[in-house]
Amino acid sequence: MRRKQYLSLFMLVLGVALLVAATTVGAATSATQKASKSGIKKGGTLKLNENAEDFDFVDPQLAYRTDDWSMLYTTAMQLVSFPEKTGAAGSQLYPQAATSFPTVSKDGKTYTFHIRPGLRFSDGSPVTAAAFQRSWERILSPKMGSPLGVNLDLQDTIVGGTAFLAGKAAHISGIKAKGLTLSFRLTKPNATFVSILSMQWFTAVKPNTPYDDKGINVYPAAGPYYIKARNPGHSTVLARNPFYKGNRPANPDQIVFTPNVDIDQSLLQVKAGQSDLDIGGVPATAAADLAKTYGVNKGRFFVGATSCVNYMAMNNARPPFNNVNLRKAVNWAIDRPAQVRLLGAFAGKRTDQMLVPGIPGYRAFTAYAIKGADVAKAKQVGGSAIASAPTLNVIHTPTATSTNRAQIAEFNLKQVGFKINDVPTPATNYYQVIQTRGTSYNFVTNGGWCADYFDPFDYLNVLFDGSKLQAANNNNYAYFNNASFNAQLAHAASLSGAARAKAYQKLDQELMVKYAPVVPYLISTNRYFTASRVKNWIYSSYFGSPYFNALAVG
Amino acid sequence: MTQFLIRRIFWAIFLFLVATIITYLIFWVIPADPAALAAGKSATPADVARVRHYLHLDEPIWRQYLRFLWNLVGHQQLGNSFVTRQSVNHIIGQDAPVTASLVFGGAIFWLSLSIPVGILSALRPRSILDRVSMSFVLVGISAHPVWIGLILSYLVGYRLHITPIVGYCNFFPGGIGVQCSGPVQWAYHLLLPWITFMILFAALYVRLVRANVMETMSEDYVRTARAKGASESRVMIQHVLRNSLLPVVTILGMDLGLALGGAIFTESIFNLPGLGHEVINAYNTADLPTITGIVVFATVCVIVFNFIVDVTYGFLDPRIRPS
Amino acid sequence: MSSGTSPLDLTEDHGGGFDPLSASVAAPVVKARGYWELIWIRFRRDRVAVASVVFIVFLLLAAFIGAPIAAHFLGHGPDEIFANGVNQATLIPVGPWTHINTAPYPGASGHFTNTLLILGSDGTLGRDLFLRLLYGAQASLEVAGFATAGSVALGVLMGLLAGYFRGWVDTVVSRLIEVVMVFPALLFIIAVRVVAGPQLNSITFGFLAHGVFTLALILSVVGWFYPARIIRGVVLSLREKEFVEAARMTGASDFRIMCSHLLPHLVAPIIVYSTLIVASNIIVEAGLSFLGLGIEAPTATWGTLLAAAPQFYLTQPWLMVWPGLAILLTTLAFNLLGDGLRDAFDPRARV
Repeated sequence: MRRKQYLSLFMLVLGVALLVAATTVGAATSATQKASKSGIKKGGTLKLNENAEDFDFVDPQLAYRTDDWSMLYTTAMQLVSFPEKTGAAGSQLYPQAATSFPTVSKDGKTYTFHIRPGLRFSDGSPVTAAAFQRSWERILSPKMGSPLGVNLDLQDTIVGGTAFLAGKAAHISGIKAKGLTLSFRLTKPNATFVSILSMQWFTAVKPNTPYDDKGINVYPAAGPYYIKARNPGHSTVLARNPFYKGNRPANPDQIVFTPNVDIDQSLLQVKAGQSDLDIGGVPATAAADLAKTYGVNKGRFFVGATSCVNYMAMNNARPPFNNVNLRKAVNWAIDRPAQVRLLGAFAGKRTDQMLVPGIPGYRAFTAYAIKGADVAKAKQVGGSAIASAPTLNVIHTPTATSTNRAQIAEFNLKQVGFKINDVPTPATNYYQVIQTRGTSYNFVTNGGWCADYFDPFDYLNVLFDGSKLQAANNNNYAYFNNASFNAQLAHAASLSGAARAKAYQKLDQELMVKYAPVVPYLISTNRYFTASRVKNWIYSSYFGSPYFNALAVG
Repeated sequence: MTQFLIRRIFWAIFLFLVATIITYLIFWVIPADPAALAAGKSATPADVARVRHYLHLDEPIWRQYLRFLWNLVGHQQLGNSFVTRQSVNHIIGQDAPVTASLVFGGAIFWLSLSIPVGILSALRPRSILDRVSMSFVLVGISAHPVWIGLILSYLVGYRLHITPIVGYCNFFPGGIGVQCSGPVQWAYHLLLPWITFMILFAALYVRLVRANVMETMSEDYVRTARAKGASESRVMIQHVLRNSLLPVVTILGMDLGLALGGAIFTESIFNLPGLGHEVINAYNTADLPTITGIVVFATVCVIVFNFIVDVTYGFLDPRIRPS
Repeated sequence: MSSGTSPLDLTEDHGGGFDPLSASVAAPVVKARGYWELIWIRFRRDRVAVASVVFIVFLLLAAFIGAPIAAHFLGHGPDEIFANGVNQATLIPVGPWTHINTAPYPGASGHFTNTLLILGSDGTLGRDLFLRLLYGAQASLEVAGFATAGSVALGVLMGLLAGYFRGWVDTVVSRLIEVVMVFPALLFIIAVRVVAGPQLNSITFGFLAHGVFTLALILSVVGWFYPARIIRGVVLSLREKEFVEAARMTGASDFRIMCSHLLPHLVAPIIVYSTLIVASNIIVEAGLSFLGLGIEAPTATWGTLLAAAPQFYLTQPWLMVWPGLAILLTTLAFNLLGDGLRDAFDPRARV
């Protein structure tokens, strides 16, 4: 029952990026972890509900939503990956299918991996270098119709990528697979290349996997699990890969995903033990009650941080928000706690900066009214420009949560004297309106960004580099374009280590204090409730979910 | 008779064309770019152009429509979803049985309730039964179906634990990873949706049957039959019921369109994965081919049912044909 | 209804038992004043119908006059957001008869007055549910009223033309009706909202709530066929009557016959069916709002209030009781009034 609360975030897990891999890769730790700790039993069927739509794709080369990826992770065998560990340790890359991190040629353009011998797909066939070559080809193939690969500029990253994408070559000339040796020839040195490989797109697939723009559903996988059966929109069943001999946990015999379950019904099922967990989280209204009954992170009710920053964007390219004072005034006027309350208890941490904890360069600061709207200060900062500002077109999608969010924001804006034109915009043209340069919107309330890589580039350069603005499909839908800031962003991106973190910390602060192009308000958390039999909860802030293969229901 | 049949067939085809053209036009005038939607949220303009060509969206509207019509009639294909790239045929194939279970199950419920109640009320006007049933009719047409569903689900499902609060189980047992299936679970989960769905129709039909029976009873031929000494049961069955229930059968066919609309509400209250639920989801995710496909499918269903009703009625009541 | 009847017409009218002909043809028999007097006398005797009228009048007063007065005395508006309208510990809306502090956020510095939420708050925004119900009545009744006026006006025009001219006009109108019936209205609603929503929503004529016009327009366009068929049936039988024949003999134009001779006889069915259509439009508006296709926030309607309630299904079930009850009582009153009017206009239909 009840219409679902559609997530207002872009559920993009786009690790669009040239980030310095050194920080994450360098400190990688050993991945060895025994699955059978004390009290953890193998076996049983892990029954997972999802109170939202089904995975859009389970084809690793088409999937890109966060829920797709957290499921695919259990089936994945990647050159480099994240270990099943909580906290910061979970965000350190380690060589998974590769024997070690790659050797890089002196010119920085050739990366060579050696694949571990003895790895097998769930049908028994061996994993060789060709498996990883195939995953690249499936992403860049014109027959797959995958615009995602193009967006990452992957085709430009690797030699021969452009010709392959254009259909002019049968293989990508820059990728050489010979037995267990795999080498990549890049067009130019790229410090982020190893990090890019940790994305779920680059998992091992059998070299004979067909090109299919509808996506494959059931296929052999080389990770601890494989997709045994799937009925899109209704169920997905994972079974243990009998040929997996690695150290990653594989506790349940089977994992069953059931999508489109009603959110309240789902909670009742988990309480009754009919289901083990809803991977879409609990109803916002139930969180406080669950916390009171079961405690937080004490065995049943879990609250885990994500890397997602929620923000409202002002259109910096048109009046009135080309006026920096008005942008600052809005940052004083917006009631951040009310926005957080809207999402129920334990919804997250209010914020007024773009970077989130865990990102190098993050340091908490407070520039604006973070405890609630400060109408007087907003009026003072905005001055007479508020009264003379044209009516604001406030855009949001018509779902319940988005509408309520917009209601609060509009109420706050009216309080300081802005005139409002509320424009609920159906999903059919919402993204086009906000992502196309020159449309008439002034204020958009549902902005959000989650990163895959714990690197500030993915937030600041991707969202605020005005030199990258194009006619349509912009992620920078604040249309913030400041030459000096652009130059600083480019400079910070070229740095590494502590200097890089320091540069981005300065930029994060400068962005909000000096320019205030957006109104960040929340770093969101995910709230989960498990059945009493579920043990071994290991949460990944990277996926924003527990590692399903580690959960024990035996 | 043949001529009548042919005329009805042509009319049905005409209706089909008009409905598909309007549907197609509507989605053409919507200020959204299907190519951009299909290309995904983070595509570059070059990608969009590529997808536009791939989907034939760079052709004139009439050619797109003809292509759509040809795929539909020639290959029975409704296209692919923008979101999951599944074929819309497959989606409809999955969802239609759920909606059919709801609509036809509900129809059986409301007919088996309203026909006897309507007849008995008509035979004993102002009796207690009549008063109770007329009160039910009033409440049935006045209470909001959504509200009835919510209250039933809360009281019967959540408070009293008699039925599940929401959800659907397949009629046929088995299937991969399904949590429940089989006729018993199916009916158990559909009980509240059926009741919610049928109350409005039951109310309308009680009133319809009652009025028809009363009207027929005062007809001359009924009085004549009685005067001739025919037994009361014979009069009732041969004359009254036959003539008063015939329009009920017809209106059942006409109400299918209305029922499909009503199913959207019931499906969204009880989270039934049917066509109505799908079309609302598709609207929220801007999945134009799925919306168009379901609309066309529903329209064809209504047209086919109307056609069957017309023809059946033509057979049963020869006076209709010459009109 | 024998001549020119298609199978469609036989299936019509879900058993209302109203015979508009006997009602309207009664008119020439009695002189005009006597006719209305008679109806009034019959209507007055029907206690249920009179009670319904009283309720509807009370509702209109409460919605259009009572709401601003209540807002004045309570000291806040229906769209005002209260941080303390939500329980700060559980983040669940406060219950009925709660005095809350109007501070913009808990612990804000400065002095803030208290205010009363009579029925508690409406959800996560902490707005006054009681005021929203009252103001919601405005929007719901405006939509229902104007949509009914629109669809009946369009329906009478079409029915009159089809019934009077018959022939190809009738064929066109009847076929149009069939197309409208087959075509899924919901799709049309989605499309209109997407294409022209913002422009239409801002049409208020200075007194309508934001978005009422769009919905009234849409409901008129998809709802006209029902009155059209009824009027068509009535006109088909009326045009064979002597007084029409007589008018035609005296050389009256078609337009004059329709306006001066036929239209007065259509008043009875128009009034009766309008009342019933108002009731169904209230239901339809709430249904559309439930699906997120109704009037847009912040304007409260009973439908949007009902749509917001399921979020608190497990924790605050009373949120879904009030708007549902308001809808039930109002539609019940309109339906009872319709039945009463029908009986008053047409005593024969009474059994």
